[in-house]
Amino acid sequence: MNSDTVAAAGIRLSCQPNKAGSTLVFPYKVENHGPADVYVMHALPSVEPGTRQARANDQAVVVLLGAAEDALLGKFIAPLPTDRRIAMPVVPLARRLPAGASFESRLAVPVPLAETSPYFADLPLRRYEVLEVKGVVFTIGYWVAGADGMAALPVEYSPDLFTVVTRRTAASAAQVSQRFPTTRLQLFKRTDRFPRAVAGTWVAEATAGELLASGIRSPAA
Amino acid sequence: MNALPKRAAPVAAAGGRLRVKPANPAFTDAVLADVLRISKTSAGRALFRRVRDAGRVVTVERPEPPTEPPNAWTLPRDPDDRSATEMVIVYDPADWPVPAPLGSLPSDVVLFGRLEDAVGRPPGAEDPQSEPAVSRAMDAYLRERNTTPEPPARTQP
Repeated sequence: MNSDTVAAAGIRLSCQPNKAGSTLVFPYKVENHGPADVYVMHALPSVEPGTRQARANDQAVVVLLGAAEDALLGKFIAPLPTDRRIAMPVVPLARRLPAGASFESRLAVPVPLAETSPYFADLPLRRYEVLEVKGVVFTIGYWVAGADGMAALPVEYSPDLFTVVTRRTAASAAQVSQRFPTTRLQLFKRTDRFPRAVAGTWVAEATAGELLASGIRSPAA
Repeated sequence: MNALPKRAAPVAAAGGRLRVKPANPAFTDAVLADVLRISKTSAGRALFRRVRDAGRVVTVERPEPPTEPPNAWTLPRDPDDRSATEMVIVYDPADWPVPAPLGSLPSDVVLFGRLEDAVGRPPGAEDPQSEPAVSRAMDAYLRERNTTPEPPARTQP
């Protein structure tokens, strides 16, 4: 396996991130080498503030402080809050990826990184702690078709995307990830009761890739 | 129009245990319209009795700032107060229009669910990743509201 790819359960994530100005850019490719179709998390349901029209926000990102002082970021199901009960669980809309197929996309994340979740509005600046992370774990969630009673319903306002429901939608999701060591990369950590335990199965151990940009080093450095 | 009170004002439902923090007149009117709609059903009146008997103050507030996408939630005013003597429902009826852009619930149903949470166990007592189920009370309310005429819309003075 190439050092910058991660394969698990037939799903391969390839990413060559870079930094453009004050943005980390993650161009990525997801390949399905498994026997079954998968549904890859791609966007969050959203509402245009002015028109109140529904839309799919494919640049919505979840960012949280993960294990070993890494920043975990990408498109996956955000942990449910533990200090409140939520009316509507927020589940990403998914792209169908047939067996043998692949797709490419791109996620741009502003720096400095700040813990972000669809369940929490941003805090005032003084309610964050600034810390330096040791790596960035770029993560994409998915469901395997047919698993756990899964149903995928086309999204009316975004015909390429599906709403996925299973018996336990969060728990039956899987994540594929890729880790990039970093130096001098800051994360604004929330000081409220922000949840950081991601549900679902991690079918891939994060492995080192490279992120060549200011503040980020290659694994060989 | 009279100036709005700055503090949360009690509403008649739930024996004064339910309060609305007035963010603006439209917000207050919309919350009261949802309360009225709920109170027109026997399931809703039963829920208001539960709120009254729970011995907690339940305050409805607008999400400020809102989340993206819009959502609603219930939490204790003081997270360290194990008996949760005051619960806060954070929701804005304007986020739950009919028809809903994201196919979500009408605002009165959202409020009903949050009121149920307000009289239930405080958050944190269960698996945080457990997925919500429709309660019997909610099921009864959904069936009843769909056969009960909607109250007339409040008009702005």
